[in-house]
Amino acid sequence: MTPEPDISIRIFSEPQLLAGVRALVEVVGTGMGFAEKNRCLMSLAIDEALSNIIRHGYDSRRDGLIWIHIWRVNEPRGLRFVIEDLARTVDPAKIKGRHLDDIRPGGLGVHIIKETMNEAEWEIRKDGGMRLTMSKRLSDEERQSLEPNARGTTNP
Amino acid sequence: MTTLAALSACAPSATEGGFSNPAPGARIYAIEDAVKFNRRDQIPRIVECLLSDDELLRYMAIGALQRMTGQDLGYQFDDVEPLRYAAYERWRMWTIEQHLAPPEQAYASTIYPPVRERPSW
Amino acid sequence: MNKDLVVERRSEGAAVVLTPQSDIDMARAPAMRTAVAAVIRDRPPTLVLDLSKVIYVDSSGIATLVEALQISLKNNVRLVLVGINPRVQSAFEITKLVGMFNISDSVAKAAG
Repeated sequence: MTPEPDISIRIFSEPQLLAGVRALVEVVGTGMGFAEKNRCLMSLAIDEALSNIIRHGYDSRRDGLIWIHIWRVNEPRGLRFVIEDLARTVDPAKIKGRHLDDIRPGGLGVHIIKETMNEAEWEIRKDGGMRLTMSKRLSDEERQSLEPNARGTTNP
Repeated sequence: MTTLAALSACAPSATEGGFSNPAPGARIYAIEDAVKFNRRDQIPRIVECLLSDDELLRYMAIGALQRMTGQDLGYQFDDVEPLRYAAYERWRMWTIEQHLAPPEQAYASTIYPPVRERPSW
Repeated sequence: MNKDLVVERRSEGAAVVLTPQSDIDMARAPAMRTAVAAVIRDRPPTLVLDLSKVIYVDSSGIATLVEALQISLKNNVRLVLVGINPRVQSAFEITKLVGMFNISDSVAKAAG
């Protein structure tokens, strides 16, 4: 049985709220020992996931609901994210990043998510909407930098 | 001298005339003003600019619409014409739904003459 | 009430410098777009985007910068970016767009 998330929040589909979620991801990432660059990329990936839901799932409406759940994982050490919504569903097989040889502005969000996260999987929820499950593990360097404090703590 | 003065008085300045001025530059000024003063009544005129042949005007128009409404309805200024037209139609419907334009008179070629036959309502 | 992006505009010689005063994200990207369009309309030889006050860009922000590059090229305006911080640099790197842009160390060099 999946344990309860360490953090669960619910936001409305308002772009102005995303800065707060980014800040939360960065703080949690710092606690887990992620280096600054990976924290930035992780919060960017979460931001992209939420932006896609707002723009494409809810058609930029501001009254849609989005849930963000975060688990701290000890082995392998990292973070797991699940983002759920009640927005328009998409066939997960059709969610693809843009081919980067094609220099156009759009379609970057999915690419950012797939490049940043170790795992990213979209699925249609049986109660409606979509679920995106992502995880990011500490790199070898990040784990090594935690070695003296690794067991049972969340401080780098 | 008098003739020259009269001739120069005929040509509208680049910033005058707003949306009625055929020059894309003038319409860009008009869009800037509409955004600055949040003139939502001008949204239908800005939507019309999405059909322009001038790419910069289209770029400005969709940016303005995003700022004023928070959405783009899938319009990309550099898309091929059929996709731009389809997105323009979505915008047109949106302005009618938002009561920014009356259905019967919406887009009665105030800026652009019809480029193709539009479905009758 | 939506907090719009403030973009300061000034001249540096013949160049125009736009300085967004905060992040360029999904909420604020449209303001960047209209600011760029207003400059391109006047067709200066160079448009400098000073990103020194931009701590964060998301894909909307990056898309806006790519569009700015496209519209500049089409209107014979040279676009240069300055003041890119490591976070913004990371976003460019992961989207493999770093090589697309002219990047300079300073506004003065970019405008010169």
